[in-house]
Amino acid sequence: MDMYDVRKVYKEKHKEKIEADVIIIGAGLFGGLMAYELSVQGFKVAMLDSGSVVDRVDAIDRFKKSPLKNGNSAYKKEWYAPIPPETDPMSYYVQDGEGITDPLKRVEFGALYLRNVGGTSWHFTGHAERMYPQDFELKTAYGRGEDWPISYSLLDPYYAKVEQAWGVSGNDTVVAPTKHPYPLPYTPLTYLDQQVNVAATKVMDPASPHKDAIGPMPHCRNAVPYDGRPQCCGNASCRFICPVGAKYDGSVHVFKAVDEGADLYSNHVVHHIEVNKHKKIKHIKFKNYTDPKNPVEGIAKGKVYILAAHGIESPRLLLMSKNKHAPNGVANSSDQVGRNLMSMVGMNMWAYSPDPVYPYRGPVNATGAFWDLRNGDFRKDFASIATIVINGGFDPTNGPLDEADAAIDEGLFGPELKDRVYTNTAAQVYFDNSVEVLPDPNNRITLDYDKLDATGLPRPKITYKIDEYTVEGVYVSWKRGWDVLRAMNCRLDKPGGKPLPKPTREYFDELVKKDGIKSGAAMIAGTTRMGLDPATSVVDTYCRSHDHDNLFIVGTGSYVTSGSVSPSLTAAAISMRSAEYIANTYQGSKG
Amino acid sequence: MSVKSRSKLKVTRRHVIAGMASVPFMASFKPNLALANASKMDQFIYASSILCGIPMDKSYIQLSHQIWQALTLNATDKDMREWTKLIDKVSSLPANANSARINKTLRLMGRGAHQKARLMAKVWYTGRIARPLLNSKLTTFEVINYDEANVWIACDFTKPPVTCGGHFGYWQHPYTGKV
Repeated sequence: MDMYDVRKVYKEKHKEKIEADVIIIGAGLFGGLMAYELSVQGFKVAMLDSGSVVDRVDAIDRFKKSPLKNGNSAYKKEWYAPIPPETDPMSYYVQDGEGITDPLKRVEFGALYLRNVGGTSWHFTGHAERMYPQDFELKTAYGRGEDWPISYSLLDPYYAKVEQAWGVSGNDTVVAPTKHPYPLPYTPLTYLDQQVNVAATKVMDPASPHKDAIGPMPHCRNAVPYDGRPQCCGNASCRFICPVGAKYDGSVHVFKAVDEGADLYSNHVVHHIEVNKHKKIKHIKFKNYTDPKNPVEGIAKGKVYILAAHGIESPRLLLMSKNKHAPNGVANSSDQVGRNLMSMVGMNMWAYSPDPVYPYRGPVNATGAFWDLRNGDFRKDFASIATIVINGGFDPTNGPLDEADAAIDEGLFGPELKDRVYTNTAAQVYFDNSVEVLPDPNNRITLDYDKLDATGLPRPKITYKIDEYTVEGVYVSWKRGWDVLRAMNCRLDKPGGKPLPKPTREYFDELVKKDGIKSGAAMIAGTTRMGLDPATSVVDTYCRSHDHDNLFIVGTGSYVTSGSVSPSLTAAAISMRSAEYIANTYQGSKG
Repeated sequence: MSVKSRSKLKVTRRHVIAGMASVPFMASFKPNLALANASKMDQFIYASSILCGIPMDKSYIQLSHQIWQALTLNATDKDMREWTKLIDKVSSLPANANSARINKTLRLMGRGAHQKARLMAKVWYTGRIARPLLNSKLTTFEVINYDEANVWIACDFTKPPVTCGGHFGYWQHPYTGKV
């Protein structure tokens, strides 16, 4: 039975007392993968997720009816599982200092996530990137940040395992080279990527070891049919919802786990973790919102607990769960839970090419990225940079519509209107910059008990800023982007229109002073950091809590540093290793 | 990587809430049937073709009804007279009328004609219509039909997202179709 059949026929049986070998909080990318691995190994697994099961057809319909059509548009917003809305993250996050634009004092935190079965991976980019070996030893290699307690070589076989599980396509990609071949053939660069490459190669650093400026990305969207999922057919919507399931998402392994006998409890909001006098997790408390008007309280008990609720909700739950045997919150004797929050920042740029480059074709977000400035000795001086060429123009879903509105406002009708909409839309070039942020214990999530969500739980309060190392990286990425756009002879307002401003440091500083630097990346990391020293970290190298030996806290929260690559693959590899450790350490009761 | 919308729309939280809460368009109002007769609707389609610069035929009849109803929601008698006049005048233009000629015709019609013509073209091009929110200066958008918006005909090198684009890797080649 494949996953689609399982999803249709699976009926949840709700209980007020759930018992299993392994209780997983969060049926997303990492929780689902671990649930599958442990179910196969003979463990009785129960997954609890605060959100609902995503019906792909309903999600597509919701997406099409939405006027905004952004990352969250396709998905149900449940009042009992609130998330930061894309248009107004501060209606969920609480962050002081509104209006401060100095990034050394405050950066508005705009990182997004979903709470549903499958999690944020429903709208992630699908870029399945390995970190560089030096990302794990940043302090040793470049004298910046900190070293991880694990190495690239230790993770290498787990990376390969996840690439097989997800069906990653690639070949000589811009991220860390792998000795393992990618399981699927590579995803070709778009025509737009190729045109950017021509100009970018002309202005790239002559000392660059690369022949081209732009190279391909590894993707977890099927280049050929794989694992019961179809081949990508370029719907150009995968950043929001892949309508055919060619892009991997966390629900794949959630339902593979269900097929192996795991139980799934959706709409179950876990609000407390109870610790016993032996410092073990005793049980968790949840509210079942399947009938939102009549939520039902319950508890779940297991031998092992895995918290996989992403970089905000995991520390939020740990901090909320203060009890007699964990007075500072669960897993928080070190006071490190919620600290070292990292989310990449950047300033993007866009302009009109003189000739059509035909964006809005192929997979969004991107197929091509810049080779240079991701890793190297420059990291002694400024932060790592990931610049990608966006296939979705100025706005992947409404960009052409916005061009039509603008042309009509300008007074165009008839054939001139049609020509303008075509010409401007076909000429859109957009670069997205994601710049590394170093760990800082003062960047953190705490709880605001004066501002509660609709269920009465405290909203996450964010403190966030960046340092000069990252600001310099933002400047370098911004300047490179403008240099390439100028080399393409791009224009500000339309093809052949106003020239682009010179990307001087003064102009950059002026822009930063006016608008600040934004954090809008999907990455949320560091809030349950990994380390060998229980005084300065939350989990060990297997993501086991230093305080509670039957609690594992997985996901990007365990990151020691962020790098600039898309984060999911590394967290999945670490989760695979944790699952292996659990399977080798505990005895399953199934079968 | 950023997942922020890059939309030029000036959206607010109210926009989002209103947008997400919007009921299916056809259920949200009483239709205005003033153009319900077939020849009048043909005239509306032809006038729309002129304004958009995109030939449209009778196969657009269902969408035309939806768009007409969207345009004339809560229209007053005066509005309806102006709409009828606009359609009469624009549909008297030749099929290849250019922007200058269309604008000249609109100017001669007097106040309000440009505004209505722009609204009509926008709704056809974008498949959405801006609506004021009750007791507010803010607006929201109702989506009439995203997939059939004329913008996808104008930009024939692409297609509405969530629609299969073709064989794997088609995007690596330059678009070779004709405008």
